[in-house]
Amino acid sequence: MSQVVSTLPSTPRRVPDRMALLAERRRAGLLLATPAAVLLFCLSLGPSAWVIVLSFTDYRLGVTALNFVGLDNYAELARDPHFWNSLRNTAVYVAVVVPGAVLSGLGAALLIESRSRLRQFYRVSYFMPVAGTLVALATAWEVILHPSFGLANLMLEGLGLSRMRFFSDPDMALLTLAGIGIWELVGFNMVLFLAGLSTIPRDLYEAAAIDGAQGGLDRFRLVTWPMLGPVTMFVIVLTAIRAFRVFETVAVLTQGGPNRSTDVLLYTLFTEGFRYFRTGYASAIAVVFLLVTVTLTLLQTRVFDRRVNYDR
Amino acid sequence: MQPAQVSLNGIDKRFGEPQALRNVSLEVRGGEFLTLLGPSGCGKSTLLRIVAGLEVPSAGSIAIAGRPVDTVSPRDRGVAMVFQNYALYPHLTAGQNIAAPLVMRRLNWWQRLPVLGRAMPGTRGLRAEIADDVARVAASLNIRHLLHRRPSQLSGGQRQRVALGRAMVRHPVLFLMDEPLANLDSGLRAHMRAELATLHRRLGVTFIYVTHDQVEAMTMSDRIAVMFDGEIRQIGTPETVFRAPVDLDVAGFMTHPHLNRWPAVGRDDGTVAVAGTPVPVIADVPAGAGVTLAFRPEDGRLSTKSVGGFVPATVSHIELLGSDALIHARRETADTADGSDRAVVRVAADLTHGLAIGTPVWVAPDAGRAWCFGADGARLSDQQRRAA
Ligand SMILES: Nc1ncnc2c1ncn2[C@@H]1O[C@H](COP(=O)(O)OP(=O)(O)OP(=O)(O)O)[C@@H](O)[C@H]1O
Ligand SMILES: [Mg+2]
Repeated sequence: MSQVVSTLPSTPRRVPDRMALLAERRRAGLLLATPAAVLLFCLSLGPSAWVIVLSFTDYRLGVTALNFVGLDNYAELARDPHFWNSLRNTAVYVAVVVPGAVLSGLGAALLIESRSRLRQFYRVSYFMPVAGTLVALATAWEVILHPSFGLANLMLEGLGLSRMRFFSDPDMALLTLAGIGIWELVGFNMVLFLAGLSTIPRDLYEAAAIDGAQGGLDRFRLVTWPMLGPVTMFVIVLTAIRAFRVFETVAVLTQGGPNRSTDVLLYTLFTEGFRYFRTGYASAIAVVFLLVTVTLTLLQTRVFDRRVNYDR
Repeated sequence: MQPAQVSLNGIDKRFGEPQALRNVSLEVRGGEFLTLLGPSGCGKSTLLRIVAGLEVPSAGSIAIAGRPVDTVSPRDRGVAMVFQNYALYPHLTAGQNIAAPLVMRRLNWWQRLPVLGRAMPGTRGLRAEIADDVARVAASLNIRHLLHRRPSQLSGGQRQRVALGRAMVRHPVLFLMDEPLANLDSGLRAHMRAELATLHRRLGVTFIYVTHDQVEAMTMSDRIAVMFDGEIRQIGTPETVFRAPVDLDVAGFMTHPHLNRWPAVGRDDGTVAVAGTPVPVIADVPAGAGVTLAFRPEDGRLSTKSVGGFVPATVSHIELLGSDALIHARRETADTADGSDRAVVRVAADLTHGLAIGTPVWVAPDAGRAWCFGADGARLSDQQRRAA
């Protein structure tokens, strides 16, 4: 007679204790997070770490030798008037672009919200700079702002005003770039504000009307502005980070000139790293850049988010 | 202040094609608690919002306290409104929410500025007065300890009170409420019903209250206006609307959970016949006329034996509700599509012994409590029979 094999295990399966269960869950969690973690490391954290390491060396692109020089690069930065000049230019640029792009983005969004007929047209025309390639659009601006045959100067002349040297006047160049920067960011900010406006419950405006708000300004102060708080903070920080990263327009239109008046942080980094091949020194600039960006991001997530989020 | 009366005259409202309101006329008496009752989408909110000035009617006119307000802004109509989801400003504390109507009215644009406003002449005194008024209202609603909290930190009932406070604080002559209790759980709703009725009595001002809840309408109102499809079908005291609905829609809406509606034919002897069984009712039904016999579950009678005047049916479902039970039964008729074969009767719970699904039963309405409705849905009067 053949042996009868029970299909049931003789003892019930051991019930895993709580710790084992937790460990198993943790393993599964880690496994699932791995692809994202690998990508994050390869694309972001790894290169950043490498840049930080390089900033302590005298590495030059193309040279095989590499010496650790400690904080020498940073010491040189601190003494370098060009670096301070470009940092100051960047700060001025950010200080002009942030309020400009945030306020005009908000204004455009409010206009579009209230004018239902032209809504689609406004949307497309404001959003175009977001969709277009900045380098190509910068070239278009170069033509528009050309000192002799540019449209802008023709219009100024038509109005009886004197021509302007938008890019060749050291006092004008940075502001002109800031103007283009505002134009570039307005559309995106507007879209963010529009999204924010669409989340405001309609009955808040009705409550405001009954409570005695009269006209758009009252409504804006009582409902729109506070309800847009979280979006506004997000837009401000995002705009600041993007303004801080200004590079393409400088590279295409002014190359930092005239007289270094439009030399910004990323452009200095670019010239040091890829024109003079001083990679170690450029890395130190990159680290400064990284610090500012990280600070802005932390500011948003830690401070602003908490202060303007009414649900917490 | 005199409680305001409200006159609505021939109000039409069209949103593009669909007509939300059709020639609505209504006189709300000063100091009364009037409820607009009706199913979802019948235009209750639209009518209320027209009174508030949040919506402009396509035709018709409105007067509040004898003053035509057709071109007056919501702010200047002197009305207060409580919204279904309260519509509290989430960025302001409860106290600031309650103060909002006063701040918007008593302070000018400059005095309302966040920091600079404090330095403007007169602001300090006005702010202090407002704080006093808010404290008084908060005390009367028992929410003084909540004034510093944001709406997100309040429970539904507490938000409700804050919304009431915001409406009360400037002593409006007319209160408008759009389903203010809809988001509360049933216990709290019962409590707030009593509280709102008390509040109405204490303030003595006119309330227009929107709900689709029959119990809310019955318990709080002086009068109920029942709406269907953008029209007011019936307006009267809760008693009248409940006992003498003008048509089948109103009767159905004022009945919970199901109004029995049986097709019947009038006979010469003052009864109607339901599927051949004569059922006595008090109504002027012409002989041979097809009508609908309708009665509430609590006005039905049930027998387990065949009795004259009772209609045969079979038990299909039994719902025990505690002290009562609902017996659902089905009559044997060919036509079952519109639910006219359903018979629902409310009985004392101890009478359900011996009943099971499939048990044959006999059902009849209380003669004095059943209505007959004509083919157009209107209730047939019972004047002559009563007199006879
Ligand atoms: N702004 C609007 N645009 C288009 N149609 C609307 C608008 N407001 C209301 N309606 C329509 O008008 C009708 C009545 O709406 P209303 O909000 O007054 O109903 P209601 O009786 O308050 O219903 P509920 O009990 O669901 O709140 C509905 O058919 C609705 O679809
Ligand atoms: Mg409604």
